[in-house]
Amino acid sequence: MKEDKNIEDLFRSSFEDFEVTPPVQVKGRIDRELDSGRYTRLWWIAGLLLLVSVGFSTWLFLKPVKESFKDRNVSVITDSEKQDEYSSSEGNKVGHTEGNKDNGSNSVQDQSAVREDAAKGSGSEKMGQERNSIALLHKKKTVESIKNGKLKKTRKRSARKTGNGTGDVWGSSGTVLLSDSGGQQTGEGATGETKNADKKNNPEQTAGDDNDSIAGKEQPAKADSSAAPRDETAPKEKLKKPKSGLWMASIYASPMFGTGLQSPKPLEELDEKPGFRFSAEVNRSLFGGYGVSTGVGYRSQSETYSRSYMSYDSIFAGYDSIPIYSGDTIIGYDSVAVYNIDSTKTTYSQANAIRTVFIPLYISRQFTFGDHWGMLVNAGTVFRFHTFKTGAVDSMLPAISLNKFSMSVVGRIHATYTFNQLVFSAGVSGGFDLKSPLTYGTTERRRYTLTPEIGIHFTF
Amino acid sequence: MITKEILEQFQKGDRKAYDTVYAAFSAAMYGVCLRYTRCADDAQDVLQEAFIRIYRNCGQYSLERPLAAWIKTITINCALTYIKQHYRFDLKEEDAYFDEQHEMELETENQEQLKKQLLTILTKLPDGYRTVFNLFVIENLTHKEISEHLEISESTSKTQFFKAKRMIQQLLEVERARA
Repeated sequence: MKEDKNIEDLFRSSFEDFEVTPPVQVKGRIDRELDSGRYTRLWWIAGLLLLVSVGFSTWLFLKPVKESFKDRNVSVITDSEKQDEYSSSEGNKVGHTEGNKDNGSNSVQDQSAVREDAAKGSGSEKMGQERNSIALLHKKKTVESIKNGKLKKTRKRSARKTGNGTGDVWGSSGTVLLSDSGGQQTGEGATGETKNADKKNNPEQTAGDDNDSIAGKEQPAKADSSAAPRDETAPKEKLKKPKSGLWMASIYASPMFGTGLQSPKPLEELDEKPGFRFSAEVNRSLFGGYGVSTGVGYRSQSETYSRSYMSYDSIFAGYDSIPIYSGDTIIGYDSVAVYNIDSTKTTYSQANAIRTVFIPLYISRQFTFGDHWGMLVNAGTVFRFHTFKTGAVDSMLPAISLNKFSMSVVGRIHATYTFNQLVFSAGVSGGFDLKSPLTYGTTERRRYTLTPEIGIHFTF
Repeated sequence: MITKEILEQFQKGDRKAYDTVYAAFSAAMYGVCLRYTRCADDAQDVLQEAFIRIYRNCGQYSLERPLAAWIKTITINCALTYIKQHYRFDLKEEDAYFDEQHEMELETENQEQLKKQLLTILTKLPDGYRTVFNLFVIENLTHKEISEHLEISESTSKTQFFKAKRMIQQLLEVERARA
């Protein structure tokens, strides 16, 4: 029994303060595990963001065309019957309520013609007179048509197909101009001209007449397409499709320069070799020059981590006498300690390569200065997926942590030059890693990048 | 040195405070893990799991309690879980062990060496013996508490402890005879 007690005491006393330092690798494994746990949440957030961006892009891509026209205020010519009807209805709705306000020309023309006129000083008396004379001709013919009983025949067709003025003109040739603001011009047509002509002839007519039913409600039939003559004054080149669209496909390429190893340990070094990076991205303009960009990219990076150890082979301490002068005379000697240190510096290093596939998600802003020059600014987050090729492990080096996923905050600013649908750009890209792909021991590292970058873009 | 500020930061999940705690307690906890497991590799696994659990549950730590005790409790619980999951924790088939010959060199000149030898004896014990012996002798748990922890009966715990002591005694006698 006593011996039993002795055994218990022996073990108790021996293991009371029993401590063994665990291997360094254990801490590395713990850190990796904790980081992976933390990054699991980031994975979910990244996935969610990706899903949202893909869904949003898909929605934008499949968005009905006419809404895009409204957003962008562009004109497009199409032969489709459906858009004929659209033109007709839009022309009636918009054109007759807002018609004649912009430039006072009220002519039979498409949107671009109005722009041209506006540039020249639209609504000039001469042009107005010319156009008003055409309008009067239309009115005369229309009145004749009513008298001859043609109204009933043509009304149906007119209402269904074109409805009024310009619509009639272009509708007869199977082309119709669509525009939101263009409704002021395109939808107005002959009846608008008629109104204007009437206004000229009857100065007392109130502005409220602009919204009169003559334009869109009762009179469209009078402006029958069959009766309206083709407006030869409308410039042909105005029927072209727009040169640029809402989408922009881009390819970026840049070298890679990274900096930053903040460590309290003076004998540590991290040497990052220049790498390269390229990415393919697609940008969708949304409003006011703003848009979103996403895509996929690849980058290659290699770095060498070094850690040095100092060993002191011998330290010799002695004293030397230095003469003290007074003028040219030595008046005494001063004893100075002299140290002779013989040390050896041993450096251990490890070269590692990192290959990264990344998915950027940017908010973009485009500025234009003149016809060709502009600026492109992107800012956002990059989701990065890494693979590693690590060098030989040395026990004198700290354990490395490999992070297969990391994120970085990136911005870029490019000067752009537009040539038709192509855009060339050059600028800088910079940012910082929220977490480095590779961590050496407990060394804290903040990696920043600032690198030149070029891009080529195609708008569609 | 663990200050109150570090404890507060640790409780909030601060990583640097956690690193400090790890540096302060990892050696002692690794010693605990070595006592409960068969080999160093297993002890490292237990230590890793314990400190991950410590970090993830740092919010549950109460500042009024001694941190060392809280960490040790988690570590021992991790060790017991590991033993149940990875070892053949059969408490009834270990009597045959006494028929085998086990030689052990016991050096008592050096205290550190003695600790190592005793640790080796512990690792030579069957898992059930070692676990119960550890809990009873070093952790000062009662057989009732041990039975609750290991989900065994109180009498089984007592038997295991008795057999553990008998085996240790046998190993020590062998060594004395050799000396």
